[in-house]
Amino acid sequence: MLAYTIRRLLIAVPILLIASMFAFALVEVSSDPINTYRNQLEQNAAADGSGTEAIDASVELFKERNYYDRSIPERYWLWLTGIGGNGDIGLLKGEFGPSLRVGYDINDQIGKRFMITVRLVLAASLFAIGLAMITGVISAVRQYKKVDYFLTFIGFVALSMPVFWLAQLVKNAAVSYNKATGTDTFATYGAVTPGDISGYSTFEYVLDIASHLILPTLVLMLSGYAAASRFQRSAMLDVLNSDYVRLAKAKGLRNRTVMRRHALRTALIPMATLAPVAILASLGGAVITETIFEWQGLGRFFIDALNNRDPFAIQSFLIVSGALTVLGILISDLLYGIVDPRIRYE
Amino acid sequence: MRLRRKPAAVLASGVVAAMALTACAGGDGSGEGSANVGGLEACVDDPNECNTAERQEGGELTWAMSSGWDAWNGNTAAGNSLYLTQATSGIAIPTGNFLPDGTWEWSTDLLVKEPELIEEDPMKVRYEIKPEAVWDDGTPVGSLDDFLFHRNSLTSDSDLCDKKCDPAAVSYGDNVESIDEVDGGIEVTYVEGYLDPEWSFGVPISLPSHIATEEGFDWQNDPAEMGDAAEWFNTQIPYWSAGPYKLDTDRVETGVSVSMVPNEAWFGEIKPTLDRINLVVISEQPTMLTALENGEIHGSEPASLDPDVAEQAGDLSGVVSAIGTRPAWDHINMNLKNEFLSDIEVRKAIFTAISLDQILDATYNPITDAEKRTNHVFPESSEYHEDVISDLGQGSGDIEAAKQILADAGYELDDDETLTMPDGSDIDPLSLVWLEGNTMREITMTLLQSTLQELGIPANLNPNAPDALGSTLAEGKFDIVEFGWIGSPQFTGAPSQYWNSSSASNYAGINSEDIDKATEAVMQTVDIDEAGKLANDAAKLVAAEYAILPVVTTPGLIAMSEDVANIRPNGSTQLGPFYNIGEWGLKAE
Repeated sequence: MLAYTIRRLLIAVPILLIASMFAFALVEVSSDPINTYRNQLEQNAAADGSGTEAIDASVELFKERNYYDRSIPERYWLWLTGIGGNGDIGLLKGEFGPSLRVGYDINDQIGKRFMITVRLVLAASLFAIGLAMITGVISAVRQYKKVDYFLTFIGFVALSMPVFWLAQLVKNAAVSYNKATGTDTFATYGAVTPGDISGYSTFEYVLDIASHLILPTLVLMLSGYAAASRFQRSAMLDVLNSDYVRLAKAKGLRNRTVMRRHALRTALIPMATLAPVAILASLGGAVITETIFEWQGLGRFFIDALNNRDPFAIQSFLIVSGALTVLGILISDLLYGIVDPRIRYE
Repeated sequence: MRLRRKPAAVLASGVVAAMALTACAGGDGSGEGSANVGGLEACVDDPNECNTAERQEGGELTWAMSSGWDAWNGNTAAGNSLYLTQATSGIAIPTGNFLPDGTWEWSTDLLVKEPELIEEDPMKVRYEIKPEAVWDDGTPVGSLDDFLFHRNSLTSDSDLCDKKCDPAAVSYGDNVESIDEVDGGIEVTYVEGYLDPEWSFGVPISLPSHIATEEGFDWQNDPAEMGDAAEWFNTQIPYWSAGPYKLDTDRVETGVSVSMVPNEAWFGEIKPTLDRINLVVISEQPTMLTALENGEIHGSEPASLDPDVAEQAGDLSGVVSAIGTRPAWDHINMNLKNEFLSDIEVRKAIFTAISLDQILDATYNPITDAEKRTNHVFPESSEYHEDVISDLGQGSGDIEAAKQILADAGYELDDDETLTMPDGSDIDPLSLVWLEGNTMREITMTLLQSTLQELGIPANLNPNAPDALGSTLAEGKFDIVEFGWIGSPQFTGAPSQYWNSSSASNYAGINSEDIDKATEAVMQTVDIDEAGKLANDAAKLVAAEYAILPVVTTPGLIAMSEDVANIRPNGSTQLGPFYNIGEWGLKAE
């Protein structure tokens, strides 16, 4: 197992290298920050009194700050290694590079926002997977019964409903609930109440976090659970139709025992391996969910980076997502070996 | 402030029930042709005093902003942002305000008397600062060093500041000859020949020079250190204040939110009553509206007008809202480099055929009585406003007259009702450009396409993504474009920016000596009234070029809880409702 893990990690290096090239190349061809910046300055020149020399000086400073005074290959190498940089760039050194937005520290932002997104994604994924397991198993056991059709219908509705619309529906429902009960149980934006919360007790603080977490979690969960539910249903049906389950039933074991001891345990194996990938999918979904709920997580970081056409920030998100994907798939593969005794890594 | 908490045991059933209710609920379906905003009607007749109320002592107010900011030094190009100005409005030096009715109010909190023009040639302006005006640490505001620091921040003179200063503008700093302390006042002397009609607006100070000194920057003697100081101010969350509030720096997240508490050293006449003001960025308007309905925020003034949001705002109980003007206006801009459009008769025909009334009826009028713009510089509310386009028939929608103009100029319609050039050749389809996602401009350009079709002129619709529009304009990759300019009562720089042949913002490509002279003349006086007259003269010359057609003074929504006091729309300034943040409060019972 250890050798396999190390081998997989080593394979991940060239994969990430190629991913970094793609990320860099895509961003490079899709934006021209120097030209945009110069245009902005020239457009304002008449009003702010800047002459050509002042504009040139500003553009030069901008280029220098953002390493656009280097060639494209140089800049890629610099982004990767940091060799020859000003200490603010180099993935191998843990530096994502400078932002076009002065004062915006990409490293700091990713660090702060990562845990915010993890909180949302983990909560949504855990609930989504748990719900998917329950509904998937019920659907399979009650195949072609009313409850199966009902759960299938719900699953497809959740699968096909646009996230932004689902989110608005959920928010409106929450506001109605707050009004009806005279409480402020649900918060509709942000990850925490703005202002001074230093006076909160631990319990109040936890409640505050929860009140902000519930709605985006619900939206992310509903949009993620449907596919997993169908996956779980399919896995359970495969097991229920297998020879060893038929044998167990033929031996006269009670149905409940067959389900619990023989069918369910086996049917959960695919879900266990699906979980890390489902979490990664939630990370993608978080981009939209965080935008709608104004959560300042990684998803919002990416949207802001796109809106600002901020090359190193966009690349940072892409490379972090790439690394998490490689890690998630590795964990998924390893879990498969752990939960299924038939799999051995040699 | 979220204080009430109840166990979440009933959440699931409540959510399901509420979702069902929400799904069944519908609008009132009024559809009466105007957004059902209300509660701030008094702002039409009494813009400066509407929503005035006695404030209770204490309370916490949360206001949503439309966008974030990247850096903290507004004197730099990187930090210069409307949203930074709004976020720091509570801590900024009170240098005066444009009131909602457009009048300038000099700061009686800061100044002993109005700024005084003591010499015209060279221009010399004197400021007398009240001795009680202090930063929150007790240091006097408006010291000679504060004036010098501001000048050094906004200059391209490398002897004063190196390139790290990255000034947002240099028209002030580059034209200052000297700044001296004379008889307890500060006198700013400008270079020979420089005149500024807007000398009386504001006081040229911004940042605390003593903080720069305390932080170890030798900014007075070393341009590099001045540059370092400018950079430092960009990244440092302000822990200083000369306004009614100061930032609670532990509760500030750059570009996301700020939280302010009263500044106990505030020297102004009107004291803050709120315990805390939170400014949070909520960029999505539906999210803002839901938060307002849920009581999480007290109000917001979104950056653009979304008719659906305006309509829904009116439905919210306990919320007052209004649609008023913003200091921005949309216009249709021709590209004179296009061979077809380079013929003034063609432009005259197109501007005659365009119906501004039709455009407004299809865009803003169903929501609000938007102002049909008839002057390139001044809105109707300005004392300098003159209608410069109507007498020329621009925007009249007279298709027959337009066809006659084209026919007189030798253009003919072929069998397919398509216009041909006087030499019989075909006309290339015109590219109609606007900012993608702006519904109102999309409608306008679709109507324009239809109007052009009536004249037999082929045209294609080409919406541009936000990052593409800038280069499209700068590189002239359009034939007709609609976009907006943000303005303010400080108008004197606008004519040069819009129309001078040397300006990069002269997207129409106007190249006229007369217009160049007229735009330059606007800034060759110290008399603001004369500058207003000169700006109108320039606008008339531009109107006669049939290159730029003003369309509408852009309206905007403000929505807020009925519990807030003294917050009101202010379309005169980009600061909007923040202009009097020190007076904000919660209404007394």
